[in-house]
Amino acid sequence: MSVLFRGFGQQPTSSLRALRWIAAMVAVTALLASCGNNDDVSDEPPTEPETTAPADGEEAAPEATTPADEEQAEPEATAPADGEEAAPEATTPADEEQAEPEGPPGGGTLTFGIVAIPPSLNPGIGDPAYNAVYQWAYDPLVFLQPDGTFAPGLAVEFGHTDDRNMRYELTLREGVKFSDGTDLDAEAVKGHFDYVRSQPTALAQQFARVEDITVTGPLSLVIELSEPDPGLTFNLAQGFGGGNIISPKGIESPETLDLGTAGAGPYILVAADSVVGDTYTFVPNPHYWNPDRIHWDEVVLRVIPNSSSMVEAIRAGQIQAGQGDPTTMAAAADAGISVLSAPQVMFGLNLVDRHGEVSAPLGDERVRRALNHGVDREALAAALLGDTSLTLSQYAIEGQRGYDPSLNAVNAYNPDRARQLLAEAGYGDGVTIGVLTVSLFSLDTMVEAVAGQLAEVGVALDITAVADPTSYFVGMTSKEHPAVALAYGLGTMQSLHVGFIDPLGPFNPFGVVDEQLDSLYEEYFSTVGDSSDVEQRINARLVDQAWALPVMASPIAWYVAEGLTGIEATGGNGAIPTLADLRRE
Amino acid sequence: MRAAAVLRLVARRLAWSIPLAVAATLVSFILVALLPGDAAVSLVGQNASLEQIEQVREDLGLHDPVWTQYGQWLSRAVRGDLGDSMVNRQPVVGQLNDRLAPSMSLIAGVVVVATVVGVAIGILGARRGRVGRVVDSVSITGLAIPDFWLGLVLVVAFAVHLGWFPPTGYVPWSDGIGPWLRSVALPIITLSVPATAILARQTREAMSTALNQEYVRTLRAAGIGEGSIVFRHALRNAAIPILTVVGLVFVGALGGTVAVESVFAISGLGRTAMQATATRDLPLIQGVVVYFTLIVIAVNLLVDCAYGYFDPRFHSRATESRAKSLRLGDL
Repeated sequence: MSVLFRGFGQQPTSSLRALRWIAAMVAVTALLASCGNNDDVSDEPPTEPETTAPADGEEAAPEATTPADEEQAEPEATAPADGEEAAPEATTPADEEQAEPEGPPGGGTLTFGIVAIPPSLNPGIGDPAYNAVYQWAYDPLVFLQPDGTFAPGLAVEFGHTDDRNMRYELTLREGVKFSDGTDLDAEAVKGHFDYVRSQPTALAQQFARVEDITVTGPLSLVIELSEPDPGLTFNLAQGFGGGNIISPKGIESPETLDLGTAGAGPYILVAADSVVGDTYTFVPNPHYWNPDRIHWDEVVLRVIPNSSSMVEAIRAGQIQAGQGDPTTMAAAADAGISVLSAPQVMFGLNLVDRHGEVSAPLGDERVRRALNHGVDREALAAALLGDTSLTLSQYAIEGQRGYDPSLNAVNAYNPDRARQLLAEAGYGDGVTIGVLTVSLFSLDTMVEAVAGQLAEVGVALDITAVADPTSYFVGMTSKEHPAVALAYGLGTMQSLHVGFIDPLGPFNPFGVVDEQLDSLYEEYFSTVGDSSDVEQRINARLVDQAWALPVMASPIAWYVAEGLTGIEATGGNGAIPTLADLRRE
Repeated sequence: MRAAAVLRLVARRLAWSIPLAVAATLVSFILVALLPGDAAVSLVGQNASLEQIEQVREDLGLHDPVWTQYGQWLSRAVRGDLGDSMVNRQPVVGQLNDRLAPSMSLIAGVVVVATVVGVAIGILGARRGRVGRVVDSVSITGLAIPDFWLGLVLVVAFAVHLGWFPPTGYVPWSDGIGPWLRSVALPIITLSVPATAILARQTREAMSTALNQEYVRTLRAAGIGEGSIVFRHALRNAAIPILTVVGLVFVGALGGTVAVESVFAISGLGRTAMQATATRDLPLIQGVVVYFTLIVIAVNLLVDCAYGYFDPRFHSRATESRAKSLRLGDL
C-alpha cells in the first residue's frame, strides 16, 4: 500500500479512497466466497485404493461401448438355456441385498457422477451405453452377475427351450408393479418389446431376429426367433437395455419418458428437482418389488463431463461415486478412491477395406498380417494405459469364452516378419494406408503411436483426424477410409457379430463377407450349451485373416468413495455393475 | 442533447441487430449443414443400421434442402419459437433459459473482476516503470495459462484441500447469495486470469499515453492532486480503449465458458453449444447462436453508450450536428 501512496504523490487521501474502493471490489468475491464451510466437502481423509487399476492411458468412456459390445461370458453357468429354468430363489444382486440388515429409506443422499446424459431418458429408444442413467428407475428382466452368470430380475425363469436357439421363454416375477402402480405382466412385457422393436434405433437391432412374441399366460410369454440367437439373454440384462421394461402407460405416452420414468426399478425420477443436462434427482419407488434393495432416500445423478473433475468431486466429498475413465484411473487410485474396472474395449485399427476397394494393399491378407506384426503392443499399452497386461492381439479378452491364449503368438510383434510379408505382397518398398481417427478416448494419440511403429517396417499411415463422434461415424461408414481407429467392446462372438462382422454393421462398412467365418457363425448360433470351442475358432479365423489390428483392451471403470460397497466391475458382467446395489458398508 | 444522441445510437444499433442476427443464424445453419453427419446419427446409437438412420432423417426432415429447413426455422424463430431439440426433444427456449443464468453469472463476474483488477494493475504499471514491466510479464504469463488446467489446479487447491469452494456445479441465486458466489468463484477466477492480463496491459498503455499529455503537465503545474489527475482526467481520457477491451473481454469470456463449464460441470450456454454441435442438434445450435448474438449485440450497445458518456468528441459531434440541422432549418 505504501508503494501505491507514493505513486499518487501529493494527495494520498483521495487516492486511498479510490484504491480502497477498488480493493473492496477485488476482495468481495473472496470474502463472501470463503464465508462459511462447504457442507458438501468431506472431512474424511483419503483412503487406500481397494482395487488395483491400470494407470494413465487411453480412454474408453462407457459411451464407447455398445449394448452388444458389453455382453459377456458364460451365460450357461446359470442361465436356463434349452428350457432349463432359473429358480426364483437363485441369488440375484437384489436378493443378496435382502440379507442386509439395512432397510429402505434412511440412507441419506447418494450423489453419483455421470459423464454424459442420453439423448432421451426413454430406455426404449435410448442408447443402452447410458445404462448408468437408466438403471436407477428400470429393473432389467435378468441380471448379469460379476461371475458372468445370469440371475433373475423381473423374470424368474428365462432361456431357450429348443435345440436351435430359436424359441425363448420368459416367466415373470409375481406381484411386481411399475412405479405408476400398474402391474407388470406378460402383456406389458410384450407391449414393451413391440415398442422397442418398432423404433429406428440400435436397441431395436438387438431384437432383429425376433419374429413373434406370444403371451402364453398372465406371467409367461414365448419369443419365436427367425434365426438362432444364443445371445438373447444378454440383451435382457442391465447393461444392454432391451430388458429395461417400460410400463404400458409409458409406452402409451412415450413423450412422458423424455423427462420422466415409468419403470419397475428401485427409484423414480423427480422432474421438478432435475435440471436437463445437469442434475437428475431420484426418490424411492413406493411400488418396488424388493424394498430392501433401496438404500438411499434420494439419488442424485450429476453430469460431470470432465474425468479429472469427477475425481476431484469425489475427493472433495461432493459426490460419492461416478463413472471412471482410463486416463484418470491412476490418479483416482492414488487419491484413495476405489477404482472398479475391467478391460473391455478393443482399441486398435479396424482394417475395413479387406477387399482392397480404396486401398489395394489392404485387400491382401499378408499386408494386414504385416501391420499386426509391426506393432509392439506392450510398449503401446505401457505408454498409453500404463499396464502391459492390457495388450490385445485377438478378438476376445482373457476370461471370455472366445479367448484362446495360443492366438497371442500368431500376430505377435515381429518387425522382420512384417517386412518379409510386405515384400512377399509386393510392397517391399513401403506402402501408405489412409486411416480415419477421432479426438475421443485418446484414439488419436493411439493412432499416432501406431503410425510411429509401423513407419519402422515401411508402412506410412495417412491420418485423417476428426473431432467428434458424429463425424467419425459418418467417415467410418463413408467407404472413403480403408482403415479406421477402433474402439469396440468385446464380449461374446455374438456381440462381435452385431456391429463388426455383420456386413450391415457400421464397423464393417465395406460389407466384407468371409464364407468360412459365416459357416463358423452358423454353427455358433445354433450351438446349445457351451460354445467356447466354436467361439475360439471364430476368433482364430479373425486373427488369421487379420480383420483388424487389435492393440490393447481398454478398461471400463467406476470410482467409489471410501465407505461404499455393493458393486463389482468384472469381465463377467462386462464391467457394468448393478448400480442400485451401491450402499454404505 | 447527449441523451438524444445516445438514443439515436441505440435505435440505430437495434435496427442493425436484426439483420445481424439473421446473418449469424444463416451462417451457422450453413456451417452445420456442411459438417459431416447429422442428429439422426446421434439419435439411433452406435450399432444402428443405415436404414434406421435414413428413417430418422426422414422423420426429422433432414432430407429437405438447407434453404427450406432454414426458412422453416426462421419463420418460427421470428415468432419467438426456437423449436424443440432434435436430440432430447425438449423446447430449446426452455433449455437455454435454464442455462443462461449460470453462463451470465460467470461472464458478468469475469468482466467485473477483470475490469477492477486489470485496471488497477494497469494504472499501477503506468505510474511506475518497473511495475509496468512486471505487468507486461504477468500479462504474457496470464495469457499463456490454459484455462482448463488452471481450473483443475484451483479445484485441487481451494476445493479439495481447503474446502472453501465446491469443486463442481452451479448453485442458483435463489438458493442464497453465499452458496451462489461460492459456486461461481473458481470458474470466474479461472476465466478472469487471461482477461485481467489483457486489460492490465491495455490500461497500462492507455494510461501511459494519457499521463504524458500536455494537459496533465498543465494540471500538475496548477497544483492539482495526483489522484485527481489519474482518476478524474487521465483515466477518463484512457477509458475509450479500455472500454473497447472490456467489451472484447465479455465476448471472449462467452467463448471461454465452453471449456470452463466443462471442467466445473456447470450446465451453461458454452457446454450446451459444445454438446449441440457434437450431436448436430440443429435447433439447439441455432438457439445458442441466437442467444450469443443477442448477448454480443447488447454488450456492444452498452459499450457504445459508454463511449458516448466518456468521449467528449461524441458530445461535440452531436452538438455540431444539432447546430447544423438548426441552420438548415433556418434556411
